Amino acid sequence: MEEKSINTNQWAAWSSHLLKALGFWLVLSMVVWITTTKLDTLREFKESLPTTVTNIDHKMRELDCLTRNIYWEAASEPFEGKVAVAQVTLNRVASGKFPNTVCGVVYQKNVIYEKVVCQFSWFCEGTHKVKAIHTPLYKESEEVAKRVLFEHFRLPSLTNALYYHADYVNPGWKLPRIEKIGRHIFYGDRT
Amino acid sequence: MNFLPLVEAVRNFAKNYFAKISAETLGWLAVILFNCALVPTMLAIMTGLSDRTPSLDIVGFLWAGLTMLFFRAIVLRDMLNIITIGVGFMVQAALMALILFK
Repeated sequence: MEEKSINTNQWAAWSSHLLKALGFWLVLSMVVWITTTKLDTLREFKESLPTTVTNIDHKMRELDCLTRNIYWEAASEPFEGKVAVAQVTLNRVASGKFPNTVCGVVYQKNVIYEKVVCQFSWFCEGTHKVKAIHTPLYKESEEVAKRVLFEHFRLPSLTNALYYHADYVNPGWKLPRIEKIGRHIFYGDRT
Repeated sequence: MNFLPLVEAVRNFAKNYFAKISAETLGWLAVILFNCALVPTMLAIMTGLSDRTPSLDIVGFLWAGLTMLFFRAIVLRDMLNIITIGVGFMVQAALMALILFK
């Protein structure tokens, strides 16, 4: 009788172990399956995103570059004058003839006859290093940059504008003149 | 050949032991499932495929429930559940630490 009871207890223990092992394997398989499915779905979603998607850091860097350019080029210009400088910057980015990033366009340098020339003179002249920033005007420049960069605010007349210069200089460009805004004269590209 | 005693033995076994064994096993498997509940999300964060952490209320309730089960296992001196929940806590804490402090 006792032997029979021991036998049954052994059976119970074995069954318990077997059931636990089977259950553990099932649960583990389920967890692995759910995890891999989730990771695969996320991976597919990530891969389906267009490669041109930019992250917030990149956008903030672009905003910073554009703000600086507006400030150092057109701080004393009216609102339209600031928008115009921002628009020329972005037109250059989209044109394919200049670097394809905002910061690339703003800090672009060319070497002409062994002389380094900046596309936007303030950067080569070092104005930004010696002059203090006037905070209200800088904030205004930042607002304009946000409008143009993130809200796509544009001046319709400057859709094709790629160049400009101040009205107190005469570089003798043979480019189609578009418009004068504030103290800047804007030009399109040669057709 | 008489199969009746064998059938009777199986029936008795199922009646006297199986219910207890299966209840015990199901409880243990439930504990494992609770421990694994956050694993897919945490792995997704660790691999950089997602930046959404599991919501704090869910994590709170889950950990509170597991803590209760842990104390229950201690009271019952149920070593299997004590070890399972303990290991689960350690693994989850390690994953969380990797996510938060890496």
